[in-house]
Amino acid sequence: MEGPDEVIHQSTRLRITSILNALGSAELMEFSTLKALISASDGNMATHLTALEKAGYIEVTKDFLGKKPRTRVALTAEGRRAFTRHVAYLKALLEG
Amino acid sequence: MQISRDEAAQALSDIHDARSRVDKLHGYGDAAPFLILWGMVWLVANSTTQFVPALADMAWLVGILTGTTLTIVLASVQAKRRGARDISQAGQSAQVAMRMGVSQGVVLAFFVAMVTIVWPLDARQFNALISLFWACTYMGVGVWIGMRLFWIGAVTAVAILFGFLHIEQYYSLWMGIAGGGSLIAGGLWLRRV
Repeated sequence: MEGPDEVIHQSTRLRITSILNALGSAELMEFSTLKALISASDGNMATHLTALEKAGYIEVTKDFLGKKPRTRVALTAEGRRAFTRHVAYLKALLEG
Repeated sequence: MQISRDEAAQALSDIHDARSRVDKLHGYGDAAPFLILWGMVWLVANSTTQFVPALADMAWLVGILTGTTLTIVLASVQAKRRGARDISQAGQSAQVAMRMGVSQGVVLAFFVAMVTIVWPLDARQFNALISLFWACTYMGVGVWIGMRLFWIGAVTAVAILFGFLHIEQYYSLWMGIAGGGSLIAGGLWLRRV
């Protein structure tokens, strides 16, 4: 059995990846929406998003909607695979 | 890194909660434009009925036709988007949509039959009945999608009943502002995370 994913397993990062994994493959989520769903502070979110980005699990896109800056986040294909592996590990741990 | 069985169970429960939150977010996001659209129809058609009674029938006809056309357009756009969200569930979504459509048809048929049985109704009674019918539909759908929609339906239903029982001269205006207004405000509330 493959081991747990240490990057994903941390509580806030697990919630972030769970939410992003529930989106469609081409769907991005706005930073503000993600923050509200997680109920985390800006600083806390930034720390965990950076860790996930460094691992190649998420992609952060910054652009403008009209004149308003917008930050959106999505799970990468690698992130989705890592999340699936981690969930499989958790289920196997419970069943075994 | 070691994970206990309790931690694994907690993590899986967190993952399930996150999925539910996203589903609710999608449900609210999908429902919001319909509420705003029909709130506008109620507002405009009822206000016209109040202030220009001669144009009331025309206002309702145009309002209902416009509302229905835009509902169909919005629903197909959303169905396509849902398919793109998760291709593996697209077939299942189509099946669910068909069942929901048939269920709605059954309820609508009941409403038409009921109105036929209790006819004649005056314009005020008919307006209150059909408006209550939709408010209760939102409550019923809200039980499945999320409780915000349930409460929007409940507030709208209470506003309709209050207007029917207590407001005489400005009943149509009340229905436009309180009924239509609560749908519009509710739609905007659904768009907030």
